[in-house]
Amino acid sequence: MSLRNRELVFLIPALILTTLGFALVYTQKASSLTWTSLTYGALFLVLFVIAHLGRRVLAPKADPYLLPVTALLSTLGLVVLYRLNEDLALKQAMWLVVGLVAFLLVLAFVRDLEVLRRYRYVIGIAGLLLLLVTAVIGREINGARLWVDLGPINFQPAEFGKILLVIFFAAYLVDIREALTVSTRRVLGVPLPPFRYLAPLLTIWALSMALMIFMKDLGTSLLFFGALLALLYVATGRFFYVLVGLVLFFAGATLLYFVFPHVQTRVDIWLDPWQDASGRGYQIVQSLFALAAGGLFGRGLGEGYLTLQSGNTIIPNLETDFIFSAIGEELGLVGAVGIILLYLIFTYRGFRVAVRARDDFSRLLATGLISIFALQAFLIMGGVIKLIPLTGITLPFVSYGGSSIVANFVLLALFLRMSDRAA
Amino acid sequence: MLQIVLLAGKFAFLIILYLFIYRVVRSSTRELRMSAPGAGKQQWSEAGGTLVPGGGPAAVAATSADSGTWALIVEKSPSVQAGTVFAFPPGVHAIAGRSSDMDIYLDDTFVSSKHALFETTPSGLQVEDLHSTNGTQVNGAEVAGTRLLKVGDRVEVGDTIFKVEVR
Repeated sequence: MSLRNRELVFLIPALILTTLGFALVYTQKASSLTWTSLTYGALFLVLFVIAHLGRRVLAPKADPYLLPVTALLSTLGLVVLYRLNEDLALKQAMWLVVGLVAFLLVLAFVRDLEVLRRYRYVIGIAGLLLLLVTAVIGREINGARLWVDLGPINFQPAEFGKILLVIFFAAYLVDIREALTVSTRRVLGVPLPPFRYLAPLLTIWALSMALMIFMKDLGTSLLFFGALLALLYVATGRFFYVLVGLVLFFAGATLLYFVFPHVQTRVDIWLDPWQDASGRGYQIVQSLFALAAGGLFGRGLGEGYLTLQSGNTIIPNLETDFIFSAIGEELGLVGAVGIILLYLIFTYRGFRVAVRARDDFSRLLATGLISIFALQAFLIMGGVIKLIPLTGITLPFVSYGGSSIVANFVLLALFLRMSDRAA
Repeated sequence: MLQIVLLAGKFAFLIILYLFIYRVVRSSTRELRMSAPGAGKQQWSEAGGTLVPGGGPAAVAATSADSGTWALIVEKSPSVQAGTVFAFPPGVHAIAGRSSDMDIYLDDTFVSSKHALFETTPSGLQVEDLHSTNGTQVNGAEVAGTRLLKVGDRVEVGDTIFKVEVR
């Protein structure tokens, strides 16, 4: 199989799965067999084949596995949304189209990543502003100020802000990596780079952390923190930075636990959701019930007990943060592990792009972006299965959310651009 | 009837999901093996620790029969293992570069995609710089156009150093 056609060959089973998923949900809902669901499969096949052809023209030597995995994850998300609420699925399908357009636009206009590096400060400031804007004109939904009301659209700027800030961090670290590794002085026996190099980094980091804390977006601040550590480690090769980062993280987390009640709640319901199973722990307890009901092979798509008569979901935020619980109930442990494997494949391909990158900037950018992506998937899946305290973030490509899906398609486009250059 | 269809569909879904994952992982690991440094599309095959172009038995015979075969030995390289020998039986040429379809594939930022041509001529092994960005050096001197190599010469292509030998 030639490299050129591999992507297309893998897109087909991904879309057969989607069609089958739609067929199952539709059959279950209508209690009869129809061919209607095939039109959905055909529709997404057309969309992703267009994306594939565009990629083939714009980035001919790009990684052939990322797009099929993305196609499967995003259309699987649509199947689950369609099963939960048809209106949401329709909106998400429109966002998917917007995402694919954004994907092609990024591939078409960012022909050379050097452009991103050249405008690093503009990008850094823009990223920061995107985070700031919610503090000023943001709308608070579910206790977190993450949304900006743009007429009919609720826009979540942090999703884009985090990509822009990772671009900035990567470009800035390329500039100062020499200074970071060749330290000139020692403080308490610890080599420290000159403060003027660290200052902008610390400022941006502290500012974004503060913003996140005051906007109560724990998930995104954790993502930044993890990505910054990964970047520092890759840029300098010094484990010392990771150590300092982890110490800072645990110190900060402990402090936050005692200062902020909402952080305390998150930890308490993680340790024991049953103490308040119908109140604060309700969401996580219901998620555990759903996963348990799924068993090994799941109840089958469309057959889980996920929604009430009123159409509301039993688990609050099932369509966004808790979509993994829905997958766990309907596809079982086997299906849920399959989803985790898809994220692992995506992450592996992403790190491979980083390893094969030709220049330092692409290498750091790929590392930063894939760290954010992998951490995000881990944090939310770990959260809903009660492995780690819950942080409200979306499951990349699967969860409902326009900003999230468009931002992730931009991220995908950047990866394909980098892998094209590295080939 | 409907129940059976739904049940079959449920398992079909999981089976196709895992088949997809299996195929992607298999295809991706196979590619990983192919693109390992020093292997890949390089048409040099191993014959008694020496890499011979073409790889056919004729080429191997040519090296073992003729004691005076020119060879490049990798002294230091970020992408090819030090000590790797590239043998040049008469009439053979090889291009070194960063493009993965080069005869001598050097995965190194300072190497141009088509960097230098090595060629056996009646008067010996010769190197030609293919207008690379960072140039090709022999014993530290820039190669302008072509240059005949002597035994013991050190040829630098990016961060890779080849030593010229006759064996």
